[in-house]
Amino acid sequence: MNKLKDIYNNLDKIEDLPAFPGVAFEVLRITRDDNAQISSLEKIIRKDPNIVSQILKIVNSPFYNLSREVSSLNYAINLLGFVEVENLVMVSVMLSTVKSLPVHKRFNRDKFLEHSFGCGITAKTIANILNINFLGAEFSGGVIHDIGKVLIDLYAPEALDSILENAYTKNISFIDSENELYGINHTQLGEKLLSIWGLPKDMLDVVRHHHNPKHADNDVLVSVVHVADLLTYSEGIGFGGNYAKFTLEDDEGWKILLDKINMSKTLDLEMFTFRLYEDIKEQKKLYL
Amino acid sequence: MQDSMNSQTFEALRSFIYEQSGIFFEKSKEYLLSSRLKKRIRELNLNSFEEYIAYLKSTSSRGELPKLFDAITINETYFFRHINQINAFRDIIMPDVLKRKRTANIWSAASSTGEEPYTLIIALMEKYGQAIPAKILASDISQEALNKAKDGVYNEYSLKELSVDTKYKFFDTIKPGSYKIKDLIKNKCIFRNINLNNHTELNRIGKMDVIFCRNVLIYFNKESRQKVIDKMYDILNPGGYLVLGATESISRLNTKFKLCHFKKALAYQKEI
Repeated sequence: MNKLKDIYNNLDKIEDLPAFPGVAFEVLRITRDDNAQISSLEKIIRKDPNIVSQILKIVNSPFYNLSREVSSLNYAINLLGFVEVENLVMVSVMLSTVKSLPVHKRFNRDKFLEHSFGCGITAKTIANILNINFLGAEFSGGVIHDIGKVLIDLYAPEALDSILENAYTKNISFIDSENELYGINHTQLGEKLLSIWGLPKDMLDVVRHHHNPKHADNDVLVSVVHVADLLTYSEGIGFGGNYAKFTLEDDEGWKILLDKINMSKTLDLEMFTFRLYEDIKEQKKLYL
Repeated sequence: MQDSMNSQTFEALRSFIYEQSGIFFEKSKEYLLSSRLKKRIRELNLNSFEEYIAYLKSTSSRGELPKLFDAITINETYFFRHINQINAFRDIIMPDVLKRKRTANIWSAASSTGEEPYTLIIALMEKYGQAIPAKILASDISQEALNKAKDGVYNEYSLKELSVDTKYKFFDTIKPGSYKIKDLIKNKCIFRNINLNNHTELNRIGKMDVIFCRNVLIYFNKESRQKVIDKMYDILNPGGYLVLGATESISRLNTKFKLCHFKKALAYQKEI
């Protein structure tokens, strides 16, 4: 019996499947609508006190450097902008999904969350440095990219054990180990979950192709998340440790970025890395 | 004159520093830059950080660069400084080198008072036990620094990153706040007086697998920096590694080295 394929085929029939919060769904719909009004976004967000308090916390953090405390949600959304609000909502979705997990001895939830958020923050920072605007999709995509691993932990913890064990003994990556043992992997599971949730296509694209961005529809967006994933391991946070050493110059996603945004001549890789480490430190203070 | 510089001026100054030296000056140390440069600006009878940048970029400022670098370098050295680099060395670089040979040759090229080479030995002993699979060469241009290194006596500050266990295991307390490195560490290290600008001396040191050359290149002009890097490339065996300072780069030089990323640390590798 192939436990992972089983989950994949019956995902829509699982009764206790993690739900995508209605509030978050509405928020995504509005933040991606060019004609949307702040007042309608405010109305929806009010339904979730957690998100309200997160938004106020960020607006009042030293990063925004305001002279007096902001307590109006409307004003806060105005200051942050739709992109930032969407980012916060994705963080809260991820938190509530992962917090619903039973404790598992190998799958360290805190590390997983740290990696997920770290990847979102890194993707956002890369987009900033490279001056590409994805309207927040790189952050959301970064946060959610490994959501398929949550499904494995939730419905096949023993399979997760075998995957990790096999990866460790053969010194191969998590995804290679999944493919070898089950012929299917977390990117496919994650993509299916997101399609059940009805999330935007670019999110599905990121989750499905973050290990090989050249197959993605939006290969620049997916490459940013892919490189962020690599760098988040090298930055020293997260679950896995597949990338203890790597050469960015030889990476498929990095090559796509250099090629598509035409900057191979001007980009100083070391400078880029030093800036990234510095900016990530700043960004982390905002979200974590 | 203002106490600190605005962010635009800071960015302009740090990109100038990076272009000239390859050192990335971190935002978190901005106060240090401001306070040190203020003194220099007053000496020059200038009125602002902006005027100082203009002066740096003008031709009349020949000779100012060393003074700028003097103001921005932090000459501190202690055991296990920049731990991410040491971790990458112990956990990734060494095992990789040992795939190709049984004993690694390691060179601490500006060993100063010995903290760096001794750190490398301690790190390796933590992993491999006392019979470490490595030979360590430590060199410095200053005989005085080398003598201190051979004495191996350190104060509390130098040992601030070490656990009580490590201190006890690798040092003897000679009096309160004063520690002497044990012979079992010292005997693993060969000290030599070497000037990195003297190629005859460099030709004599033999082949290496890992070179640590942290925060030294800033003291060289661009031309001699290129020469030293080229020489180090020759000295390294295929697949060997060069570790620079944590925020130091040679991206602006012409080299065949490949940049590798580790956990929060960078190093350069020669092709295999």
